[in-house]
Amino acid sequence: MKRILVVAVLLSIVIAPLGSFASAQEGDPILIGLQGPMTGDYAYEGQGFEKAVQLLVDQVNEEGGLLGRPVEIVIEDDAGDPTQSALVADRMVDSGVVAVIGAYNSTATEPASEIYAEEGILHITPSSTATRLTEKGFTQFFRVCFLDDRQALFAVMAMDEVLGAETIGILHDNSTYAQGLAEWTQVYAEEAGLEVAFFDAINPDDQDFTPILTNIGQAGLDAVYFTGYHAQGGLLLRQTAELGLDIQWMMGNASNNPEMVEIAGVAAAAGTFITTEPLPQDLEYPEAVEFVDAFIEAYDEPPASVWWLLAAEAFNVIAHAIEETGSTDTEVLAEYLHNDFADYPGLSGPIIGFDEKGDRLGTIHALYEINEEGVIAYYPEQPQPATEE
Amino acid sequence: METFLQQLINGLTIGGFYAVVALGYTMVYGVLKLINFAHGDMFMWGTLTGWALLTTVFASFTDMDVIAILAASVVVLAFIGVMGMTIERVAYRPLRSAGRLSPIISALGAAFALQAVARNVSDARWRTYPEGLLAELPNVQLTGRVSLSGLQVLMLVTCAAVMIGLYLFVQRTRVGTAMRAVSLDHDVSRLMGINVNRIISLVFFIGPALGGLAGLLIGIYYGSFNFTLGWVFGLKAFIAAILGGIGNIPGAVIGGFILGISETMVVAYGPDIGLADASAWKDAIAYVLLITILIARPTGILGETVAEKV
Amino acid sequence: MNEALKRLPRPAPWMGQLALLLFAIALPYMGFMDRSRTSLAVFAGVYVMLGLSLNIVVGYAGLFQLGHAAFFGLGAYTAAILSIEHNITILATIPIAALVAGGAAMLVSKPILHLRGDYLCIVTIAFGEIFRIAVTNNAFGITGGSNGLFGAGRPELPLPWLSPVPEIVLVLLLIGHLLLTQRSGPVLQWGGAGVIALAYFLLPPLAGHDQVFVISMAMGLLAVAGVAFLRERGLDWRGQVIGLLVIVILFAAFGAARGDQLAASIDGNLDKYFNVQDPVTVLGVDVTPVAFKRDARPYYFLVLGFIIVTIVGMRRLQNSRLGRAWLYVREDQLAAEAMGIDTTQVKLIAFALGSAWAGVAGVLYASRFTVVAPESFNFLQSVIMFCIVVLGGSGSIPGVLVGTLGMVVLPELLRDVGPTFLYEGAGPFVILALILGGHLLSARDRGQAAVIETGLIGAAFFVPPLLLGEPSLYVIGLLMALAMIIVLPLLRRRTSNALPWVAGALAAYALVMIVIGSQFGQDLEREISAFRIMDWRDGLMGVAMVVMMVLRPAGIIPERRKGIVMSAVAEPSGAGPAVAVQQAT
Repeated sequence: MKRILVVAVLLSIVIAPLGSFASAQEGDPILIGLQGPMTGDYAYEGQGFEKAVQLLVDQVNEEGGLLGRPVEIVIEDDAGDPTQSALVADRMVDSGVVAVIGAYNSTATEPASEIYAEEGILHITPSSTATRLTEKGFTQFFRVCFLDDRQALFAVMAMDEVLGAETIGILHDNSTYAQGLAEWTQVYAEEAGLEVAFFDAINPDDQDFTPILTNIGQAGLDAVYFTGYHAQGGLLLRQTAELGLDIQWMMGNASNNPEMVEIAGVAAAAGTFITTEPLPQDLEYPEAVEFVDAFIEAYDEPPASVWWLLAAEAFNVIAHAIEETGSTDTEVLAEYLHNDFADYPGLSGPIIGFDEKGDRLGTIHALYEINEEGVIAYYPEQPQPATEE
Repeated sequence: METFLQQLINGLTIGGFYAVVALGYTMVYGVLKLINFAHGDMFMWGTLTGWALLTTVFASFTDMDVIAILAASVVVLAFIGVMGMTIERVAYRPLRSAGRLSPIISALGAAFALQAVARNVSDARWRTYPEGLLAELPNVQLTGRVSLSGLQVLMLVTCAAVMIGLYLFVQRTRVGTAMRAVSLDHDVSRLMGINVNRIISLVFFIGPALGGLAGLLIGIYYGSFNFTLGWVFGLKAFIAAILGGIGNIPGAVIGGFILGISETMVVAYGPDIGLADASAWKDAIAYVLLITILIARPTGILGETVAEKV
Repeated sequence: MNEALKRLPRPAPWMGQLALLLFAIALPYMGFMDRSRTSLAVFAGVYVMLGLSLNIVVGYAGLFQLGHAAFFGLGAYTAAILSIEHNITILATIPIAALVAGGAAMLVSKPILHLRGDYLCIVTIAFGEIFRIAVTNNAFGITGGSNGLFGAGRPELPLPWLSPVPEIVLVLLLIGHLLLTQRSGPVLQWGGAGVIALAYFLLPPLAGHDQVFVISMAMGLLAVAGVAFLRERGLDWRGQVIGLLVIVILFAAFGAARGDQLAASIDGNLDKYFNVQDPVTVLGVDVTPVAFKRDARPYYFLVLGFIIVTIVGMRRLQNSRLGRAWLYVREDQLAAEAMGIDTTQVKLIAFALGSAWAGVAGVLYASRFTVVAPESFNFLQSVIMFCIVVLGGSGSIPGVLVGTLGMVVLPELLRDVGPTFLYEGAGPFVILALILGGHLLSARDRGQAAVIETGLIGAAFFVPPLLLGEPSLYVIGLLMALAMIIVLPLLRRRTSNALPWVAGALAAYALVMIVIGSQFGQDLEREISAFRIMDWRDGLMGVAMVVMMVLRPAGIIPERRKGIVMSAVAEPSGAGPAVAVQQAT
């Protein structure tokens, strides 16, 4: 008897949600998918994606939507995990989205991109920078961020020209993104004649990095490039100061987050360089200023990470393409983005266009420094003209 | 030599934390023969509670950070202790005679639940403790370039005090004797007039409370944390407890220090012996060490070889 | 137990199994199985395989294994590497992956098997973590680091109606038939084989299309399985022959009458689900492979096939000499040794077999997801597998199915549940009905009082929201109902008549709710609609794990075995795994 009850309860729990499927969305609103880590280790970034995109969707809907149709976002959580990402991609296909923004990390983007390619759904990733993602010949896959190798090249130039470093160290955290950036940096550094005297990874789950910091301190490096995320970046800076070591840190764009300064403490963070896309507040483009203002008004805080901005950027690109072509057909949209889309005033700087692989053209990386007040500030001396016009 | 000394200090600090957290695992195992997988998350809850207190209720105590921290410690000890007792009552006691698989699942379930609540409370973000806590503690200068920060000294002293105190409590007091009796045999202890349930409750108060205290110390020491701290650190501390011989208090301490120091030394001297990316492989090496020790000594370094009960 | 219920004829267990099998076959064609749900079913299928394989280690042999994901990963990586680097078609890597995973398990477990329960547990965790760290760090330069490997091939099968595939399949079918009918007399054994072979080859020409060989194969399989089934039900050889003939004649008539439609539908399905590759010639024979498309349905049947084979194998294993040796080792190692069982050997086999099968599941995983990355094989995955086995009922095959439903399927389905389902539409009624129904059942023996309590709780639940037109109050009402059900048994222990207390508490609750509802109703609704059930998914899972274990310590569907009678005596703590073995019904 008890057993029947248990089975009945289980079955009803399993079957109850199935009823909701009957009312699959059809017709009016244009559905745009947003896939990101809403839970798990990167939950903060995924939820930021959602905030940024939702803000723009609300704006668009207030102004009458796209092609006279309202826009709705379909949010799915992949937890940054490749398996869940594949399941989520199937759900996106079922829900009938026109385009998908996401995922956050390259590991999660990879399996999803394959499904979207096969199903012919426009796919723009705001933040997955692994080079190989665009090397599979998918015609409807784009990214609004820049590749690992662009930033790596920029970082090497910065260390070479601005810091005058000769011997450098590279530290990553074994994540897909950080490892890729670190390996490209090594390649370009060796090309530029810099000596890479130290190359290792930390375990991002750790709290204490003093052993490896002591090693780095011993190695006599002119600069160390950390390509991982801001939380570990903050801990590294803090423990460097506590050990009394003199290390010139330079961080990749995943560390471009005010929280890093908070974790490290202002004194420990001051003097650290960051290579990143320009921060929104440093862009004079009215689009960027407007977006940041609207974001602060809506959520009482500025967008904390570049990736949030780029998620919004991805949405703008999709919306723009739909408006310009008057179509929601993936082939038309992809065709437009490849060939006719140019000089768009983006939130992260003008978008020159996309190349045939779907990568964003040009580079807009800039060098920033954490100043004595703990603010991430544009560094007066840049290795090259920061934007290639 | 200086580098070695510095690395030794680094290792001792990490090891000290492992040791205190390992005590909780070892105590619970001693009386219940249960791997309390929720212990790591209760420890993380200590960090979380400490953060919540120091950034809100005690935030105005900026000039009196010692008082604020002491007050926070008391609250954390009590809160995490009660949390431990509650979990024992709800999730473990009903399963005491249900074999050994079920309590493990129940413990894992409790860990999941604790972690999920912590994630939502902290918005899944990294949270930072107030800056400059206990910053005015004097440094201890060892050699020209190597020094122990005041915080490190405080941590090591606290860890040592907790461990010695606990050891004496278990060895010298009546309640401690009762604990040891319970760990040997529940039924006989009951016949001897010991209230077994009360002793187990007490163990589940002390173990998690100490873990929570270690959590608070870690928060102050490293300045920031996120909700996954308990899972990762808990697993390491668990290894330390096993390494020393689980159920054995000095064993947990020894295990903690061995693990901390060996991890550090792998990173420090790995490159010299041809392991270029030693840091990335550090944890794997710690596990290999564990397996090797267990193969040589199946019940850990200080574990007694107990003939299997039939 | 209800007397009337007891007297109802109990359905035989095989009917349940047959119904389950038919349900599994029909599942992907059901209306609600859209693309993502079919995909989820495939994913769950892989976890069923993993659960079954871990069941050998944990359930049968009673060994703690919290590093199973490593062997799953080993299989997946082996398949991916062989498929990407060496262009081996992925299903052909199954034996290699199984060997690698099983071999590795044998190698690493040999020195550690003498460790006692909890020490073994930590060592297996250590192996799991070492594997994950090694693949993350690109061990031997072949694992792709944290990126993992991309582009493992999709399963490929030879086109089923091109010679020599039909011939090979027939030979396998006949061997199966001859083996299964060894004791049924020559008429059935040889005559039956002749009938099957004849019909097998006659069907396609009768229908006029080579494609109909697919139907022939289905017929052959059904005939062999049907005869075996009838014999197990106790029919003599005449009955079996009749069954065989019925199947064959039905198929033949159907194939002959509908040949064109069948061929067209086979071609249509081939087009929809498969890519026909370029012809390949092996040793002068034309083998044209067809590769799976991304659609989940063919994968579903592939995985289902593997699960069925696994379950059949497990059941035979359970009752074999080895299975009984495992049981003995699990229940009492010393006694087992005394009886001359080589316990180390027996445990080693359990480890190797379980891990090898996890490796097979890894191949299926790699072929379905094409990306193999370290995150998919971390400690959490091992924990989930462990939970599948223990939660469902350690050692029990249906337990694994239920465990997978709870640990893998249910959390995914929670995605479909919005926060408002708690108070919109039928949501509150369904949930309340479940809660109250549970309460009534658990308090069956107290008759009237329980009914009145239940009625009171229900009334308190419905009155405030309906009175105020504030449906969000249902959410608080649900919490109240849950709290009452937990508190009531405690209350009853203290007083003989709990009813006045209950009534008083509920009246107070209703009053408070009316105040809250009229003042803060809107805020409440906003708060609740901002609530994301996904954020609490693993928390809910954790609570459910604790509750399930407390309610059913031996698992949801505990293991049942004939012949072992051990009353559920509480073992002295610490005396080895004391899984209560229940008497068979």
